[in-house]
Amino acid sequence: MSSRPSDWEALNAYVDGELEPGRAADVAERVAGDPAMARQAAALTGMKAALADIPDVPVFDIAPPAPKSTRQRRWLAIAASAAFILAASAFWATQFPATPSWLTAAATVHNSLAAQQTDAPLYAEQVAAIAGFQPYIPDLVAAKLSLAAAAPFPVSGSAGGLALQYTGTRGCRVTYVAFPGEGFALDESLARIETGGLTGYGWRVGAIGYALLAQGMDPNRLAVIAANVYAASRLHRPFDDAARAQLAQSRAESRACTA
Amino acid sequence: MAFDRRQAVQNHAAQLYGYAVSLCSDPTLAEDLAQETITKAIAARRIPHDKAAFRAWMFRILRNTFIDHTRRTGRLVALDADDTDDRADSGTGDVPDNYEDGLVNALTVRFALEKLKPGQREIIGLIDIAGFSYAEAAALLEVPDGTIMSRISRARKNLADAIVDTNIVPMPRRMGRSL
Repeated sequence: MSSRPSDWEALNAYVDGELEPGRAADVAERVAGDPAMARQAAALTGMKAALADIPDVPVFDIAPPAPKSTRQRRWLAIAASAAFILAASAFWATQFPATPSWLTAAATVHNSLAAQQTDAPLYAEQVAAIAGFQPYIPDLVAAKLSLAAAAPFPVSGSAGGLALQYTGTRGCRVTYVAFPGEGFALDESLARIETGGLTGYGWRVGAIGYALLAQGMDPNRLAVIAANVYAASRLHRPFDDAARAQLAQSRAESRACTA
Repeated sequence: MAFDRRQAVQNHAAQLYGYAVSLCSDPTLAEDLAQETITKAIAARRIPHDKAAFRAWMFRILRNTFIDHTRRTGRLVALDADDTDDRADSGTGDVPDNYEDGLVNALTVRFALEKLKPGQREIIGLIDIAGFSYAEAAALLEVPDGTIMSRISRARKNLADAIVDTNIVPMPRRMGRSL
């Protein structure tokens, strides 16, 4: 097999400026004297120019990393939060042997919301306006999770309820439910939940119960999300910078969802 | 003059993103891949301080990040298998007779690029989108320079065919009106 490039390869290399001067001059002479070859060269040049035009380039975060000691402290805080939540789960399992009706309903709505997702953006303010009560609605953009679906969440014994689903770019779906009414076996502290293949966390803030559920999500990432949503829901405030950094960090450190 | 890492990253961010799109054909995933690459490049303790080496190093990070992603998600992509079905094209290809320069714009080219095999998208991503030389692309992909020459010419032939096959025709320009 000859190592000499074909005319087509040589023409490509010529357009790319990759030929040695003598060879480039030879190809240039042929292009000048051969309309068909000139047409090929023009076509290649046009393709290259069109490809070099990169549309809709996002704005990237090029901020320098935080000092090492700060990062270490942040990660320790994340790890401590996650460890606390994971440890608390054993206690919860022994205290919560029966599956309450709202949890069964949450597992059902997790699957049904997957079919209701919309490409149109959903905004927390819109959702809150139709909820009929004032639940805390987290903005999980820092965790790369977007609000994709919303639905009523009827629970027996509760005056209404709201179910939201957030989706990520790596197959993750997180369902967040909020419903008014006391009881429902929810405590003011955060507790781990398992039902129907879903894992998550539940808690109560005053007279509103909350739960956050996912399937196949990295347990540490889910724990970090839950810990931050829990803390923010108690204050009914958006995440602060530290919380957003934790959410972004846990997402970066986690594997893709498997469900 | 001291090497400005952040400025170097900024200079290559658009090309990294363009290369990522060529690898995965998914702008959202491409944004994630490019951001992860940038974050790693900014945070790395040791970096190449030669501009060309730094650029090649960043693109290698992105390529490895993409490969890791495909492994995690069970969607392995054979980036080096661009030519198993196209050897007959090698050396004989040119743009089709019905190829019209007027059809070539960013939209039609991007649309056609998605129809190519992953390895062919990648070589076009490196040479035409990121502006790599054949030698730089050969070093990144760990193949001889001549292989790059063959691959890029074959990929462009298939791209030209795909452009002709697309049904997207640019709207005629209206004279004397601005939109």
